Parts: sequence; structure tokens; C-alpha cells
Amino acid sequence: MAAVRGPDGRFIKAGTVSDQTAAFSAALVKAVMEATERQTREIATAILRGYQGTPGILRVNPTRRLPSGNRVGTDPSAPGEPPKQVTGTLQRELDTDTERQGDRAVGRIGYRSGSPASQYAPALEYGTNRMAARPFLRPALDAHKQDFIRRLQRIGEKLG
Amino acid sequence: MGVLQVNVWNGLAAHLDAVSSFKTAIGGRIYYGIAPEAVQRPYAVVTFIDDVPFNAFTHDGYETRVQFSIYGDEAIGHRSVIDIADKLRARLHRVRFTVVDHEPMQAVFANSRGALLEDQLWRMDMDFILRGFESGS
Repeated sequence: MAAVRGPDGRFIKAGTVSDQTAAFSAALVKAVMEATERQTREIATAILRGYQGTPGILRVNPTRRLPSGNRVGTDPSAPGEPPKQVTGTLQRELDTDTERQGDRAVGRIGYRSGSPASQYAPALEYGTNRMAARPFLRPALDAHKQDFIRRLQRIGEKLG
Repeated sequence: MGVLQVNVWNGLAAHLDAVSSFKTAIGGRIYYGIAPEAVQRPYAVVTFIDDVPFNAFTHDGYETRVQFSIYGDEAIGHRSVIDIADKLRARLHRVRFTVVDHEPMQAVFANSRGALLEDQLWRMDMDFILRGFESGS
């Protein structure tokens, strides 16, 4: 399954995608079980592209401007809104990672531990006990679920 | 929040307000967005993750994600917030609840996160996908 990792490095469970993919799982399982490292990277990249195409913080190649914040914090994002772009760090540092787990290939989206964005992305995505969340990864995942499935299906079909 | 989202929140809140082991465990302290300062523990915070009212990618119905964050004092141990989250899952997963001016909705467990230690509080997160269908669809 294509698992997706949240900004804190923990998994956003495969279930968030695979819940809706029961009918497709035969092709997916085949693709994943027989996937090479290159194909695994392709899966992770496909998911990342889905994120990057999402209006909001993750639109790295925007045809329209993101809502901009400012560095002194007088115009912050509202609770529930995706974070406003200030330095672009959240977009720039979003990364993919792939790994073999037994006979499964796992692609992840998130921030590498130790990167500047990893210091504050979890607080934005999940909120804290003192700050309401400004989620931006899970809405992108949900909005692109069908697209992820189609991309994975194509990879599965290519593997035949 | 839009009108539909307010109705969904009210329907969800009413469902959670009915007597359940979850409500008892949390002492009825469920807050939207952020909890009041220095509130008694344990408590739960609910956040709507997706404010797009109709998800055209799937069907004509309403589909949204909600995050529950369960907080408990560090001293009582991480198992306690996990136990409360399990009660929440039992209370919500694949359960239908009513929404004003809307078809009933169903909550489906999506994923969990934690338990994590945050500012001397144990925290356990659980996401549910809420699905509803318009009449006639």
C-alpha cells in the first residue's frame, strides 16, 4: 500500500487512501508486491505531485498567488485554514521517501526529521493544546484520493 | 464554518452527548478547535480538517474529515488517553448520526496518532471520515 507519512514522520495510515480502494486492491497489491525501487519512487512521486497540485500551501508551481502572510505575524492564518505562505519553507521542504517493507513498497510524503520545517509543521497540521490546527497535508490527501488511486492503477497496469 | 458544517458539528456533538463510556471517560469535556485555558483533564478537542462542503471527486454527498485530540495529565499515563480514544472509536466508527436538514451521516475511522507527550500532557489523536449523502443520490 502507498502509505503516507505526516509531517512529524509518523504514518498517515495507508487506510486513508486504501479505505476506498478495496475494489482496486488486487492491482495495487500486485504492483506493490512486485515493485522495484524505481517503481516505488514513482508511486511516491505520484503522491507528492498530487499534493503539489493542491490549491493552498502545497501549490509549488502556482498559476495564482498563495495568500501571503508576513514575517511579523500581524496577519496569521485563521484556525482551520492552511498556513499562509511567509518564507515558503513548508512548500520547499516537502519531500518523498521510499522504503521496502518485506514484499511491500512504501512511499511517504512528509518532512525529514531535523529539517527546519519539521520543527513546526506538526503543530500546524495537528494543532497543539495551545493552538488550533491549520491542516494542509490531510486536506490535500483527501482532495486527491481519487487521483492517487488512478495513478497507482496506471502503475499497476503497466506492471500487468 | 458554513451552515452545513455547523449542522454536522451539532449532529456529531449531540451524538457524543448521549450517554456513552466515551462521554463518561472524558467527563463531557469536548471542545471545538481549542480548549479553554487550564481546563480540567482529560478533555477532547475536535477539529474539522476539510472545509470543502461537497467533494466532487467522490460523489455528490458531503464528506469531511474530523480530528479528535484526547488530552490527559502526564501523571495518569499514556494508556489512559489511548483507552479513551478506543472508547471514542467504539462510539463513532461505522455509526450513523442525524444532521439537521441533511441525510444521516456515517463516521468511519481513518487513522490515529500518538500517544505523544505535549507540554506535560498525554495526547492521542484519532481521525474519522464523515460521509453523508444527499437525498436521491
